[in-house]
Amino acid sequence: MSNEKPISPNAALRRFLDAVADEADMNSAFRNRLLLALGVPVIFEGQDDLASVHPVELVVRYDEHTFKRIYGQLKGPALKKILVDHKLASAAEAGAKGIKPPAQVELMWDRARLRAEEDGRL
Amino acid sequence: MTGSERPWLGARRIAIANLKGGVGKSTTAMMIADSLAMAHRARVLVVDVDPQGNASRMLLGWHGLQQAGRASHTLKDWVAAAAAGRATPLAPLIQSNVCSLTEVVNVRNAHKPKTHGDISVLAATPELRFAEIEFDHASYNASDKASARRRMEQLLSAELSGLRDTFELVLFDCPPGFSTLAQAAIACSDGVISPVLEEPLSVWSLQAFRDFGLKQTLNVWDPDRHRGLFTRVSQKGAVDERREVREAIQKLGVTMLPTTIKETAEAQRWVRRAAPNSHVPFNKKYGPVKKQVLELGDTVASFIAGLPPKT
Repeated sequence: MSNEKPISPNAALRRFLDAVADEADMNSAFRNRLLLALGVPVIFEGQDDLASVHPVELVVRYDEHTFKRIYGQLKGPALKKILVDHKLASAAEAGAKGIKPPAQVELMWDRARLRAEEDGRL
Repeated sequence: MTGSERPWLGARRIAIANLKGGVGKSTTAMMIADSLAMAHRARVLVVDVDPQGNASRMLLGWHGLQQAGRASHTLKDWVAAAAAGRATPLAPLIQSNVCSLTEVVNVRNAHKPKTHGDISVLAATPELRFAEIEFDHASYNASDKASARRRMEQLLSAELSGLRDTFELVLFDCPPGFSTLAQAAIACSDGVISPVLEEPLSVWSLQAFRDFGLKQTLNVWDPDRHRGLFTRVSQKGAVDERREVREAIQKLGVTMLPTTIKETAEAQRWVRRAAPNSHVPFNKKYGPVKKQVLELGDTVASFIAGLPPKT
């Protein structure tokens, strides 16, 4: 039997939620999983947040304008990384010579929609 | 590379078949098509006779397959027409130039002499199974249980003979089991490649495939025309059991291709095509198994080159 002093149910729950909140602060992928699990509209902002969110999760939640506004804040290399990491485009397609961020965001919108349709989510 | 250096060419047909499911038949078909098109300049036609349509989906992408289905350009349409007694040519149903490899479709090489081959596909959708059942009913003859298979074989063989000058290799991706289409594909093929897992159940299935399928039903068993291929091979553990499997397969008289395809998550990375117009370099597509896939193409080319003439 543990020698630790028993604590109240409220204190135990608070301790658990504090641990979840700490982890969410430090780990953007974990935070995003929690946010997506809430099932309510959340605007993801910033490179760290977006890198771990699958664009399909956003394409099924937002309209085209909002989707492009969210990803429009990122620079070319970050967009390329998201496209490749989530297997929406090959590295050659995502980082083709002369491709600019707006075209990358357009590609991401098209491919994420295709994937969502394929998965029966649209 | 000249034609004389490619002795395996010449309208050959190979069936990728086994009774067992989940052994990697469709993936093997895609790997062979990719490696032969890229490294051997082969013009390959993949005929997907599996209603699961996995090879079709890998080659065309999900949207490409949907488009083919909506346009009535699939094998189902041909089989349904045959079931209704209407002779329909196969050629218009074939989707051309569907290879996902950057090297094969590189438009910058378009003005140069052909440096690579290409891949076309006769796609399958789940409705193929119903068309096949209709065909079976229409062809059933109580006194000749092989009548449906024989009729299908005749029709398929005649259509593919008409495409001899268009394609150098026809690869049939067969379904698990022994459907009428699968039987016809095997019966009209020059050789059979059976993907096999390194596990006892695979040995039993391969034995049943050889005895019930190739010997008893089709009467086409010929060890010179049949090869096995170990797929999804794990490099770890169960060494004794895996050795026993290999010995058991050797006793069956099935020669294994020297290449094996190991199990890796990366090998499955590009099974799902991002879009019908999305292309990827060979090295990226196959990652850690790229050398094995190229070797597989070489060994399959050697196997085909060594196939005795069909009587």
